[in-house]
Amino acid sequence: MSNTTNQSDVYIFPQGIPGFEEIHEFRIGYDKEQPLAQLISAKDENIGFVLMRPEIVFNDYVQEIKVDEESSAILGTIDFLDLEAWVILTLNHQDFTKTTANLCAPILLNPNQKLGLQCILNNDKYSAREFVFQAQASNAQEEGAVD
Amino acid sequence: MLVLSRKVNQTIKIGEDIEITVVSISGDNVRIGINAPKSYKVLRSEIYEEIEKQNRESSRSSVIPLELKQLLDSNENG
Repeated sequence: MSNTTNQSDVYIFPQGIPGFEEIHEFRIGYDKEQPLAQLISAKDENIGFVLMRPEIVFNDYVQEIKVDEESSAILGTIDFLDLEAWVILTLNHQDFTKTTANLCAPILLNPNQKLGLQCILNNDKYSAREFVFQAQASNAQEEGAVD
Repeated sequence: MLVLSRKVNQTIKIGEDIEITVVSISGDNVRIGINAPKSYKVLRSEIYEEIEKQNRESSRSSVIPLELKQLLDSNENG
């Protein structure tokens, strides 16, 4: 089973990502309109991750990301606006509503230079296993609240 | 390793730029405040290991399940 994607660009991850430090080339496959994308090792298709744009569910998350200097240097830019922030999802195949997102360490991409890394945040507020659909549910409740 | 004793609210200075404060102590639990420039990455040591572990768990599939897409779409539009 494969997903069709409009784009499949190769990004260089100079540090790999934790647990996969030896992988320096990843393919990013995404459709411009989808909030989901794939991060796949360029050398081994069996190593891959599902990414999600965090802002569709976690409202303030992206604004709160503070990129440390070392990460900025690796990404080739000090301007956060040059970057895309994605989070890795851990899927629960028995029950997709239990899918979690790693907000502790987003994947940051610089599409102009095709550079990327996983940035561990200095932020206690977010966990590596945030439930995606509970966050959506509470957003919906807030929006439905009558003042 | 340099070992210092501190009481609550006392601080430790490392070099010019880093200051560590004992914020509170409760039983086994010490809350430590760290003032350091953004160029320093400050992490609880077990965090890197946790991210490694989480990545390994997540790496099993990059196929985007249709059901997941649908759940996200329906919640966005609902």
